[in-house]
Parts: sequence; C-alpha cells; structure tokens
Amino acid sequence: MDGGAVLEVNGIVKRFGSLEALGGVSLSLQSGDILGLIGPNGSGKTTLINVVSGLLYPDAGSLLLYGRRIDRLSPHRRSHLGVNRTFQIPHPFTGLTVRENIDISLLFGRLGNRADLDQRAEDILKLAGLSEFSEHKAGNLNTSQKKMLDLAKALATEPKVLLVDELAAGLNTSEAEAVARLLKEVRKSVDAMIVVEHVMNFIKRVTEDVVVLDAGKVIFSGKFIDAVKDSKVREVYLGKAGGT
Amino acid sequence: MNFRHFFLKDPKRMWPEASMLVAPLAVIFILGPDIYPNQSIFMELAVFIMLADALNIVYGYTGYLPFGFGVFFAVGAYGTAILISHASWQVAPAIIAGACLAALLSLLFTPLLRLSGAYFAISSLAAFEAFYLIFSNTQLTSLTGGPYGISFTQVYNANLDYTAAVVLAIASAIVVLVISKSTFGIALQAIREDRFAVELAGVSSLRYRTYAWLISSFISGIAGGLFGWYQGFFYPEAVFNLTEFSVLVIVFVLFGGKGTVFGPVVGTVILFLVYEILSLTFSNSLLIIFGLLLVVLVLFIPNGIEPLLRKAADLLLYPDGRD
Amino acid sequence: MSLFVDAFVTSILYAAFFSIAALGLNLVFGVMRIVNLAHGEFLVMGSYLAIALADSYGFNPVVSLAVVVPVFLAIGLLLYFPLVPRLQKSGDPEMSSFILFFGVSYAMEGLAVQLFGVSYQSLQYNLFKPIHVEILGYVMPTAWVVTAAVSVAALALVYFYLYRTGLGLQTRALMINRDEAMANGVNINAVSAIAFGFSIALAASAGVFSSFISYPTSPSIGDTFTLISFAIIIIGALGNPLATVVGAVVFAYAYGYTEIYAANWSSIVPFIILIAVILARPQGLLGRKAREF
Repeated sequence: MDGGAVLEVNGIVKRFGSLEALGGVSLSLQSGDILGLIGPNGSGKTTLINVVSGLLYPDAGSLLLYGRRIDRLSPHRRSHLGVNRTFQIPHPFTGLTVRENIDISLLFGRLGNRADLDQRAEDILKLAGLSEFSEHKAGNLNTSQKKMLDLAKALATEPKVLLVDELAAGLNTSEAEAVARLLKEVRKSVDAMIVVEHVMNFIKRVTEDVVVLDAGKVIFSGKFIDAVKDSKVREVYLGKAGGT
Repeated sequence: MNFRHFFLKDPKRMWPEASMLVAPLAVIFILGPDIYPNQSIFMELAVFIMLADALNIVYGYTGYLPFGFGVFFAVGAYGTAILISHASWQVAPAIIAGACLAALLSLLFTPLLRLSGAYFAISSLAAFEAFYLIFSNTQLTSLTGGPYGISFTQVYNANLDYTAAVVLAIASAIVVLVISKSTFGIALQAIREDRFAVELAGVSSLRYRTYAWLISSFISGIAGGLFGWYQGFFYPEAVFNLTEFSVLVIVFVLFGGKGTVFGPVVGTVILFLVYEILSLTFSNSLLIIFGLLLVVLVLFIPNGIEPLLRKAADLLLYPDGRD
Repeated sequence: MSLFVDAFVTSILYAAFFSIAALGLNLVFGVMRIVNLAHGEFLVMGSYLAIALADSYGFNPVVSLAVVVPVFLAIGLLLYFPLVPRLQKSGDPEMSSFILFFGVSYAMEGLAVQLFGVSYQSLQYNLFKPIHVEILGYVMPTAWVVTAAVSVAALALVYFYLYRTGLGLQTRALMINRDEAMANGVNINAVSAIAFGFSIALAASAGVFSSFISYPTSPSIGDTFTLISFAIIIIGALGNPLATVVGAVVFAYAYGYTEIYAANWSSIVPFIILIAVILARPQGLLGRKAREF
C-alpha cells in the first residue's frame, strides 16, 4: 500500500506552553527497518514516541500507518492497528500477576479472545524469560524483569510497529546483552521498529540506521558510522557525551 | 466481549468466596430483626450495602469518585414514586424504570470519564444540588410534590420490600464478586493502575469505565426505589441527603477497603452499627466525630481494614504460612 | 429597564467578591492538585470572626482584616503540614483530597454549630458611615462598594505575588509542571504551604464581607460557598488562578439576572452553568485544551 511505507511521520509539531518539544519532525519506516533514534537528553526522542503511540496528540503534522491516518486515534485503536511501545521506566500493572499482565494484552489486543490463550501466554513468557514468575505480582519484579514484562506485554498485542524507549537504560551489561538478544528475536515478528537509545554501544548492536534529534529537529538521518563523522552531530551530541 | 474468556479463572473457584459473602449476610438479615426488633434499621443496612457495592464498582474499580452519587439514589426513588403515584405502575417495573432513569442520567456524565477525576467528582456534586433544587421546586409540586414530599402508600408492603432489599443487597455483593473475577474486572483494575499502559494493551479504557459507571448508577437507582417504597412517603431532603447516601457510603467503602469484594460489605455492616449508636448517644458532636474519622481514614488507613482482616484470617487458617 | 441596568452594576460588585471567594480554591488546586472541599467552611469561619470583632469591639470589617488575615494565614500553614504532604504520598491525592477535606469540613461545621449555634448572623450595614454612597448616579450600600474595592486590592496583591516575586515564579512553575519544577529545584513544600496559607486567608477575607453581599452567615452555608467557588473556577479554568475572575464575572451575571427574571430557579444557576461548561468546554473558558482517553 502507498509505496510500502509502514509508518510515515510527517512534520510533527508538539508544544508545551512556549516550549517547542518537536519542531516539525519527519521520518519514514519501510518494512523490515529498525531505526535507531538518538539525541541528547531533552531532544524530543521520548516525546516523539509519545506522539506516535498516542499518549500525546500533535499540534501539527500527520502520522500514517500503512497509509492510514492515525494521529487522532486513541492509543487503544492504534494498538489494535498494530502500533505498540515500551517505556524507559516500565509500566507493569503492579497489582496483577505477571500472567494477568500478559492476558490483558492477549484478550484485548489486536486479535483478542485467542483460542490458544494459554499457549500464547506461555510462549511469550518463555521468550521474555519470565516463565517461572508467571504467578508473581508484577510489582515484585526487579527492574530488568519489569522491562522484559513491558516488552512481553507489547509483543502480546502482536504489533506491526514497535517503539522501544531506552530499553537498556538502568540495566547492567549482562542484562543489556539479554535485552539486545531478545530484540533480535522480536525483529522477526514485527514489521518495523524504532529503538530510542542513549547508550551508543547498544544501538550499534541493534541497527545501523539512525536518526539524530536535537532540540526537536532532525539533524541527521543515515548510517550510524556516518553519524559519528557528521560535524553537526559531533557538536550537539557526541561532543557533549565525550565521544562515546 | 467473548463469554468464553469472560472468566480468566475457573468460575467454580468463586463458590467459597460467594458462600462467605452470602451466609453471614443471610444470618444478619434473617435473625437480626428477631434479636433487635426494628426492621427499618436492617432495611437501611440492606440499602447501604447496595450503595456501598455500587460505589465500590465505580470508585474501587476505576478510581473515579462521583462525590454526589446520591443523586442516582434519589432519582431512583423519585422515578419509582412518580410512576406509582401518577401512572399507577406496579412496584417491580416502577423500581426497574426508576433505576433505568438513574442509569440514563449517568450517561450524561460519561464524557467526563476521559477527564481528570476532579471534574467528575465536582460535577456529580453539582448535579446532586441541581436535581435537589429541581425536585423540591415549588413550581413542580404537581409532579414531584415539591418541598411537600411525595406519597405512594397504595403499594406499601414493608415485609415484601424488606425481603426484596435483602435479596438484592446480597445480589449486588455477588455482582462485585463476579466482576472482580472476570476479565472485565481485571481490565478495570489495570485501568485504575495505569490508564495509558492499559490502552496500549488494546483496552478501551473509556468504554470499560462507562460500563462500570452504568452498572453502579443502576444499582444505586434500585436502592433508591426500594428505600422510597419502604417509606411510602418522603420529603426531598430524605432522599437527597448528601451526608447519608453519598458521604456515609464513601466512608463505609473506604473503611472496609475500596476495590475489594468483602471490604465494602464488612465496612458497611460495622460502621453502620457504629453510626447508629453514635447518632443515638452523641448526636451533638456527630459531625465532628465523623469528620475526624474521615481525616484519619484517608491519612492512615487508605486501603481500609480488608487487607488487615485478610492477613488475620490467613494467620488463623494457615498458621504455618500459605502455599 | 432600570432593573436591568441595576443588576448590571451590582453584578460587577458581586463578581469582584466572588473572585476572591473562589480564588484560593483554584490556587490550591493549581499548585497541589488537591481539592479543598472545606474551602467554604474557612470562609464561614472568617465571617464569624469578623462578626465577633464587630460585636465585641465595634471593628469595621476593613479593620477586622488586620486580624483575620494573619490568623487564617497561620491556621492554613498549621493545617498544611500534618495534612497535605501525607496526602500527596497517597496513591491518588486528587480523589483522596475530596474525602479528606470533606472530613475537615464536617468537623468545622460541627464546631461552628457548637460555638455559634445554627441561626443566621450578619454584619450591620451601618458599620460604614454613610450607609449609602452614590457612584455614577447609582445609590448603593457603602458596604458593597468597600467589599468590591477590597476584593480588587486582594486580586492585585495575588497578581503581584505570582508575577513579580521569586516565590511567585516558583509557584507558577509548580502549576505548569510539577515534575519539571521539582527537577529544577523548586522547594515544593515551602511554595505549597504558602499557597495553602494564602488560600485559607483569602477565603476568610471573603468571609469577612460575605454577609453583606451574598448570604447571611451560618454553619451550613459553607457548602454553598464551596460549590459556588467550584462553579466559578471551573468556568474560568481549573488550576489557573487568574482565570477565576472570568468565572466570577460569568457566574455573577448569570446569577444576577436569573434572580430578577426567574427568582425561583436562581439558586440552580451556578450548578447548571457548571455542568454545562464541564460538558461543553471542560478546560474552562480560558483553559488550554486537554484531551485524555
């Protein structure tokens, strides 16, 4: 459909009072793409994810999913159409068990009322490495388990586009390794992904294609190795971060 | 919603909890009037249990607190009374129609379920005042009886009404139990915890909050109809009583434990008794005592006594620990 | 026709009074995201204090302000610390605050009944000499004009605090975005406590004049003031103190004219406007658009 773009972000503007968090951001995802979204703190990465997933409504611009406008739809409609995300700080339902967390996505998600509910739930829990915690309250998990649960909940809705917000943030090296492996697995089941990341080593492992945001504007779009050489990018981001 | 997956857990697992709800209530309502021969007190208790369960469904399970939710009780009472006195309806259909009227009124508020809770709480309070002023207005005396009250003694039948109220009070407790064990209830709980995350899971949080809200106002309306029927005649102040049919109910639910199955019922039974004793002995300082009780509840036991009771019961039943 | 014009002029005075009556409620909501359902009771208590000062010492209400403001500022600060920080830590402060402050209002109403009885009390118009003044050809009670003048002065003071002082800047930052403000070193407890104290003092100051211009004072009238204040701040914009003035003007005119043309229904007016505004434009007349799901 429409030349095959999975997700098109066209000139998205988002303001908070007098602050312009996003000043006309455009990007496009093709089938099979994994796009790394990088930039310094406050550059608008998470705001963009919030706009695409429906937490915030843009002040201007449009979002197209397989050519269909979604920027005015509520988050659950976008979830049904195949847009889902994870959070930098995970959002599990702490009062429910891990299994119940997954069940909600399976029952109310894109396909809903699955006949093979139990099987699907077990598969996802296994993929996320949470099988043994199935009956634990989600509030009792540690940070990395909560992050895995966040990802598992998103996967249970069988998304076509997955937005991953700083999955590695706050994790130690081996935990981040596990998350990166899981993302490779996830790549097979989704059509396209945006991965927001602050940790450069992590983004390198996941994708080569990056978009760099600064102060709500796209300042670079291309291959990661070129981004490192780009003078503007070095100035606003890598320079400050000490050349990581 | 597909009924095949309506229950996540085995429905048979509800039986123990259902019997733990029904048996004590049945004992109280059947033996109570013999021990303390004042049926109207037990009638009020039944009405309060219904209201507490109704409030629990919307406040406990969605987090939205309709502060003036007594308006649905009052509209149920008036709807029933008007249909019986003006249109000579039978009692049962009149009460159901009154409750439908209450639910219809609650539809007006559904757009507010997408806003922050303050709007919802305040506008229900405003609706309470507005409807009180409308129903008690002298210009509507021919329809509502205005400030002089409305009478429909032709159908008065205290014993039948008492039985109906008891059955429906127990039924409303069962409704809460069923909701808590259903996917609907789990979705509601998730909505209360994190509205955005639950949307991402594909749940239309607005739709499920609306369902909860409609069920809640319908039960309140039924309670109002039963209460009015038992009176046979009432003044507007008797049913538009913010202290009794809104605030007291909020206190009962909060004290028992909002968002739990047993909390509202236990809270109502205990505190209603306390309230009756207090109002007989300390009627002067009743407001002060209840006011301070509310402050203490919110600040020190916001989850009510249910979790404490549950812990105590676990210790008694499984002294060596569960699992 | 002259009735129409009269109502137009007196409604301006009403609007000034009700701005002050409601302002504190909005300040507290804006800064703390909590709802003080006992707001009207503080107003009533202020009124009782002014009546007592007039009865015992013959104080004119403007003089009484010198006592009422510091006393209620202190009461507000003293109540803030045991109640609000603890409330903020609870799961849902906004909803819990309704119940907490309803409890406070109950206790205060009960206290007022014990202390002052249930009968209606009012200040006498003759505390001001002359009793009537003529402005632009309209003869009005001096008390009304003074009420309006004091209200405008209080509004100017609040404006000065919010827009011309360092603490005011922090207060506004807190109203716009709590998390950002915290991250940027705003002293939440100090700013909130002061806002809470101001709010109580403003309510009590309005109470000093309330028996002249609105309702006679009684323990049970507090609820009415709370509800009217709510209507006003929602019509203006919840959480935006200065929008309160717009809400008060709308309320005062709607109330003033229904009182003339449909007196039977005038007391319903604030609630009808409130519900209508919430349904049609929940962000208030001046609020920014807020959409949730």
